[in-house]
Amino acid sequence: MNRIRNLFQKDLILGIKDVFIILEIGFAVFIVLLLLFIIPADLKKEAAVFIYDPTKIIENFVKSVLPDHEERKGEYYVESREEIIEGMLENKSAMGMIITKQGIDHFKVEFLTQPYTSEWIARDVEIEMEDLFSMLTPPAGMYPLDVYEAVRITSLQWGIRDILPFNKRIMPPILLQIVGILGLFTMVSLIGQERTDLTIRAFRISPGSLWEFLVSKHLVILLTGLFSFSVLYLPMIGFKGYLESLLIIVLTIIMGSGIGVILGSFFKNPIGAMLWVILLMMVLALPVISLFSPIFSPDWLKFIPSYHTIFGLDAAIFPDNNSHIIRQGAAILAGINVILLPLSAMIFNRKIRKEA
Amino acid sequence: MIEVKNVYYSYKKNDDYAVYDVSFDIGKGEIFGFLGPSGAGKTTTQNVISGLLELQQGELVIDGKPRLTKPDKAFFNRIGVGFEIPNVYKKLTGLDNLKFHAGLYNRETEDPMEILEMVGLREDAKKKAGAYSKGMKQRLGFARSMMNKPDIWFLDEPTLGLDPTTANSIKGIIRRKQSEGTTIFLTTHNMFVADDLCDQVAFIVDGKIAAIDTPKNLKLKYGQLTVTVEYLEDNTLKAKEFGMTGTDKAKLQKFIGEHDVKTLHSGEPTLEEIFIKLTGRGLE
Repeated sequence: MNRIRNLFQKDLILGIKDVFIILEIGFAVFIVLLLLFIIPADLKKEAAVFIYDPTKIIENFVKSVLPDHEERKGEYYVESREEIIEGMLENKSAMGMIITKQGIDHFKVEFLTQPYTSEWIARDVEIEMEDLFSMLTPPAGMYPLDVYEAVRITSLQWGIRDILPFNKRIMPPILLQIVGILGLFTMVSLIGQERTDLTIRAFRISPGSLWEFLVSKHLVILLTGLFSFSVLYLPMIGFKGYLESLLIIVLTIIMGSGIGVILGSFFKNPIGAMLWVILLMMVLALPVISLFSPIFSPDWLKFIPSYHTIFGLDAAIFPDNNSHIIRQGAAILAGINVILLPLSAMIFNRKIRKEA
Repeated sequence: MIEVKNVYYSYKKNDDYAVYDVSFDIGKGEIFGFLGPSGAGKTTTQNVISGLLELQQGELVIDGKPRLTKPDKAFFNRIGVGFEIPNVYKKLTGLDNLKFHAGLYNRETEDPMEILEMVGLREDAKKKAGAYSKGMKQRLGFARSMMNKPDIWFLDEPTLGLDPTTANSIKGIIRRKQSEGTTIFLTTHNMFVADDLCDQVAFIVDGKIAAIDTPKNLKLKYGQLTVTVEYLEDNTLKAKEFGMTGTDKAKLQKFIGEHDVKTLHSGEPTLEEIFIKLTGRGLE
C-alpha cells in the first residue's frame, strides 16, 4: 500500500508538471463557462415529421389546443403518402405519420420510419400517441386503444426531449469526450513518457510490480477525471442524477485508461500512438450521433462501449422512467472492465518484460 | 555469491545469440569487471543477472539459490542498478527522484541528502533533474542505484562522460562500498577504470567470453614486460624497445654497454593491449 501511495504521489506530481491534469481541469472549467454563458439553452434540434392526416384530427387539435402551433417547427402537414416518402428521403432524420379513419371513432396510425430505429424511442412514441388519442376522441369510458390502432411504430423525437435546454442536452457527449475518453490519451502519455525516459527500467529493478505501476496511473487518471466531472456537472445540472452519472463516468474512465494501457504497450513513444488515440476517440464518439438523431440507432452502434456511457449519462441527467438504461449501461461497462483491466495489464506485462 | 553457468540469451529467441555460453563466478565483496566493445553482450548479461531480462537458458545461482526465469521481490530489494543512460524523472527534483525510489523498497534505505552530498549534488538537490547537465544526471542515476544499500550492485559505465575529478570521486565511492562488503558487477569498455577497480575481469566479444582472470594475471599471462631505452647517436636522441625475457635481457645489457644511454623506461602492457591481443578487436 505504501508503494502504491508513493507511486501515486509521483504520478500526480508528474501529471501536474506535464500539464495533463491542469489541461484537463482547465478545459473542464472552460467548457462549463462556455455552456453556462455562451451556448444558448434554447437551441433545439429539429425533428422533422411529415404528417398526412386526411381526417384532420391531429391538425385541427394542434391548431385549436396548442396556441404555439406556429412555432412547432419540423411538423409538416402534407397531402399524400408520396410526399412523406419524398420528405424522408431528403431528410434522413425525418419520419412520417399517416392517420386514417377506420369506421366510427376508430383510427389507424401508420408510422413510416427510416430503416434504423431504437426500440425505446418507439415505445416512447407509442405512449405519446396513446396520450394524444386519449385527449382527442375516446367517448366516455373507452380506453384509447379501443379507438386507435398503431400499425407500425418506430421512432420519433417527440415530447420532453424537444424542450430540454440545449446546453444541458449536450452534457453527455461533453462528459464522454472531456472526462471519459481523456483517460485513454492521458494513460498513453503517462506510460509513453516512462518508456521514452527509460524510467520504467529503473522501476523494474525495484521490488515494485508492474500492476502497482499501472494501478497508480489508473488512480491519478480517475481522480483527475472525477474532479473534472464535478467541475462540469455540478454547475450545469446540480446534484440531480449526480451519483448515477458518477457511476457511469467512473466505469468509462477506467475503460478509457484500460484501452490506453494496451495502446501504451505497443508504442514506446506517445507521439507514435496519437494517430490511434485520435482514431479511437472518434470511434468512441460515434454514438453521440444517435443521441441527437435518435432515429439513427443501428444495432452495431450499441457494440461501441461509449454508446452505454452516452445513453447512461443521458438517462441519469434527464430521468424519465429510464433508470433501466443506467443499470444496463453500468453493467455492460463494468463487464467490459472486468475483461479489459486484467487483459491490458497482461499485454503491458508481456510487452515490457521483453524490453531490457 | 553469483554463479553464472552456461548462460545464453537471444532477443529473437532463436539461435542468434546476444550472449553465448557465458560462465563465471563472482565472490562476495568482489568487483567483477565485464569488459568489451559496444554490442559485445555486456549489458545483456548484466540485464539477465539483474532480472531485467528473463533467464532463457543456463544456470544462475545467487547465494546458493538457483534463479528460475524471473527473480523474486526479495532479490530486487537487495540489488542496485546504475544504468549507462541516465534515466531519471526530469520533472522531479534530484531529491524527489531519490525519495521516490527509496519508497519502493521494503528495507532500510540511505538518507537521500547524504547520498546527494556523496555524489556532489547537495547544492542542486532541489533543482529539477531536467535542468541537470548530462554528467549530473549520470551522478543522480548512480546515487539512485545505491539508495537501498544494495548487497549486489550493477554498474553500467559509471564514469562515462564524467570529468576526471568526478570520475575519481565515483571510483572512490565504489571502493568504499566494496570495503563495506558490497559485491559489484561493473560493465565498461574503459580499461583504465577496470584495471583500477576490478579484482577480476572478463573479456567479452560477440557474446562470448574470451578470457577471465585478475587484471595482473592477464597482463602476466598474455602481455610482455618491456624496457624502452633512449640513447644518443649522431647527436640524435633515438629509442629502442627490449623485452624482459630470455635473450632480450642479454641484448639489453649489451646495448646499454655499447651506447650512450640517456633514459630507461620499464613498461607493462595495458589491459586494452591484452584485449586486442586476445580478441583481435579494439574496445570502441
